[in-house]
Amino acid sequence: MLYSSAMTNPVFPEAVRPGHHYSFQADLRLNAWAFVAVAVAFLARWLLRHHHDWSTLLQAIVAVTPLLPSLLYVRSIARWIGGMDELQRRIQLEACLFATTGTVFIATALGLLESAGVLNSTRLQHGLGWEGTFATVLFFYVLGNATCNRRFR
Amino acid sequence: MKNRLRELRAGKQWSQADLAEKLGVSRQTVNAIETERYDPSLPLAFRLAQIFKLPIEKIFEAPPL
Repeated sequence: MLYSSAMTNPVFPEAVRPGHHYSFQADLRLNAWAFVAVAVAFLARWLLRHHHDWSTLLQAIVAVTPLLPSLLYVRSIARWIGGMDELQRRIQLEACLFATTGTVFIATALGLLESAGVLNSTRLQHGLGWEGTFATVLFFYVLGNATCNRRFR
Repeated sequence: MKNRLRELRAGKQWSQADLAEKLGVSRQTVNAIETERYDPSLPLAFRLAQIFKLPIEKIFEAPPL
């Protein structure tokens, strides 16, 4: 069913890639939840800094609020990939797998370095953090996407 | 997997983009199949067979066992 929907209504990556068929609306539709997640994350951080008097439960709820739009972003990415033609779907899935593996590798390496005491008094002693994780995933995704696209060009 | 896609497409005087449009895939996919860097899924292979009105084994050559 997924395949037939992709065949009748294919979504090519050109729709959100600067070039011949770039569409700002398609770009916005795909990435809207990412922008919301970033905005909510900044808002949540600001609220937590200025409201130490809130209960622990409320602080916990505010702290994890950015995860909800992040999950919705993952859903829109999954739908976007599901609507692609089969080669592009394979390329995107390989890039996502590469990004996930690379990020897990970096996070694990940081954990090992931290337990060895190497990262004491550096910014990385508490792990990658929200921004660091996002940047690492993005870095490995772009690298994986470029490598896979080159292989099938 | 070896295939005769380029030859068959040229016989119909279609560009890669023309064939891609008929198949509902990207031109990159058609190119990757023609250059034998990508093996299509079974549904896509059947779609190719329908378009060229040939059995699948006349388009794709099975690798030796």
